[in-house]
Amino acid sequence: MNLQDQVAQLFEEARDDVYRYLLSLGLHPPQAQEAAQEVFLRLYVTMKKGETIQNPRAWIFRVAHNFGLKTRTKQNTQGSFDPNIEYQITAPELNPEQSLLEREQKLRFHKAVERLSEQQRRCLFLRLEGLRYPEIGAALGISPSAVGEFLRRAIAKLKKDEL
Amino acid sequence: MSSPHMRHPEEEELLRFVDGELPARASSQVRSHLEACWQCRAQLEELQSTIGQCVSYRKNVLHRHLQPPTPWPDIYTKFAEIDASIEHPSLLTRAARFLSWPLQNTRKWAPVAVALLIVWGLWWSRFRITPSVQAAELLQKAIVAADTHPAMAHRLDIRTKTRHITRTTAKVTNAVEDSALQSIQALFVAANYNWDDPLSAKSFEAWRDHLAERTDQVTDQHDSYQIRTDAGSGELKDATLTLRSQDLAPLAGRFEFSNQEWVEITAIADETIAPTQPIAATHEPAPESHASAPAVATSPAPSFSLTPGDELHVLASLHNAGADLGDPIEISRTSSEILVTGIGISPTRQRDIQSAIGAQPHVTVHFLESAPSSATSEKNAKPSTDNTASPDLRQFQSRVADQIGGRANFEQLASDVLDLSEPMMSRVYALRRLAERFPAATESQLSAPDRQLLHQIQAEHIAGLRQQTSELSRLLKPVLSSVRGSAATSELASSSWQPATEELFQAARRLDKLLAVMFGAAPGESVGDRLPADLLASLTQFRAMVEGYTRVSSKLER
Repeated sequence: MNLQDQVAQLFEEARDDVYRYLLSLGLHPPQAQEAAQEVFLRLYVTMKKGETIQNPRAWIFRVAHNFGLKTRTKQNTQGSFDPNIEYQITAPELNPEQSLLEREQKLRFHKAVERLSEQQRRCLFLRLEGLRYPEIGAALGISPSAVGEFLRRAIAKLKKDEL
Repeated sequence: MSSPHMRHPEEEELLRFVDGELPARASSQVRSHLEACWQCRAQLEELQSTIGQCVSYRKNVLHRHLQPPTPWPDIYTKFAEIDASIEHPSLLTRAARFLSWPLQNTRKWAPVAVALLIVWGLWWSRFRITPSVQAAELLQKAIVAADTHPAMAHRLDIRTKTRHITRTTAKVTNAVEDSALQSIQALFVAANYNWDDPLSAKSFEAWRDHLAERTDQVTDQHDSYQIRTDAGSGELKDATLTLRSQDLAPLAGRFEFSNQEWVEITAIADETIAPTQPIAATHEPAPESHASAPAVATSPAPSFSLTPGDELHVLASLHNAGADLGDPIEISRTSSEILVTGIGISPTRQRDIQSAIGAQPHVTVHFLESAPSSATSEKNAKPSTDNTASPDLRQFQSRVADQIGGRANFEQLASDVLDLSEPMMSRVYALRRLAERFPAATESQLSAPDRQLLHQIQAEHIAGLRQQTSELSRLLKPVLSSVRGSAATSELASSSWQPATEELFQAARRLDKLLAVMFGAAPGESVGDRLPADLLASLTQFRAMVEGYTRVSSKLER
């Protein structure tokens, strides 16, 4: 497989995940889409230069994370995108079959996610994208054991709020 | 397997366990414990349910936006644009040709030419190939200039959002701790930027050189050059160094950190002072300033600086006590202190470590309790699904067991193998730590005896590894002897030991994972017929890599 096909395949497979991750960082949909695409183009440029990338998925999310934060500071005037608010508005018609109680529970969980610290949330979201602790650590510039600790705290907090 | 009735695992351990982040041995222990302990299984169930909630959060919350606002573009078109922009000279000529097209064609061709120019310009500005080369050259010249005219002790004017202080760069032997500049220092240390000499081309280049990605910009301001490097990531996201055109002496630096803090450092011109009297004057911040900014109080400047060599000596002491293998200890170095942090270490072991380090100056050792696990809430205890090996794997294991003479033999073998894989991984982790803490640039700063010390520690780990891998091969022989596998050995791709360490580490992790799957300590994707062949290949490859690694590192010792 040539380089273009390789990156194109990764793009196909992971672009939605990257896009979603960028939304969770607070980027607005158009910027998130542009940034997601940019990440894969950077991957292409990097690989074209002959650098070998051990784990492309981890690389993609590390770059997406950093690039996302940079883009977010630039969009400051707009305020950051909050998918939670959108959820609260759209939830009723989105899940008509759900009981009120269930929806209540979900909303409570979402509130709990909002209450996590920034670093806890980042670890959690990157973990949700399937990254391992050392990979998350590399993306955030912290040690894998710190990642474990942030995740533990995040889960503990969510568990408490969920009850 | 040994000690199924271990203590209840901490919550973090459980999380690491389900995430497959525990070393094989610990993972196997947790697994056996879970089989025995309902309470912990219930706790695990709870954990899984919270994880499940997170997954559905991810699904629900962003569901509406899963479709991006516009359809995804054809990425191949973008690739073509990149390819074209990389070969920019030819494109430039083409653009020029288009522009000089006969006048009557202007209407037809000009937009194309303009579009091409724009595309070219966009990519040009995106990658800035020339500024990067320019910046590197300029910095290199400035480093040479600084080396040929050793800097006098000069004063620096340091400004942050809220503070304004003065310090000297003189490295005098005065052990007074500097609490004043600590918060600023912390920012620089976290960013891996040499705080001892923040305003120098050398420090700037060292930082710049380690960036995974960067964008440079060089501006010529008739009497000075300004080099601005945008890191795009990390603690320090953006730094600008101003060099005097005349002699490339650093005049000023501006540092922007990821937490919105910024620091500006300006050299106070030609005002040399007696190095024994470091001065630090503080001006109170304006009343409207934020309280959250780094607090800087009056205090003398840091007056000595710890080197990688000092860190190496601490590491060597830990190594002598065997504390660089498996103990959760981290070492970090600032200019004024080497901090050794141990987490969840038993009191006896703490004393060992403390006495191994002894009374080395400027070393602080502290021990933290491991994070307290929240008590299991009994009211939520519910029967748990079985967390043991899949039927596929069970079947496979019993086949292996038959092959080597029964279940008891298998259990014994599993225990031996896992007992061996853990110290093996510890060795690899220890090597990796050496490579991370002493990259080529840092290694070159070490004195010759220190370099030798570094390689001695390394050699001891390698010797341990070789012995462990040959023992592992011996143990696995009865299981793998019948396996026909194309044992494709691959050599190390790297010729210097630091990147080679990373290769070795990756190979070790693969091997460890396969061992854990084979001996039931971790769930795995590749179960069944392929597993023994995978394991054989992985083991052979790892042994070849250890040999290759031995050669790479012994080459350096000479």
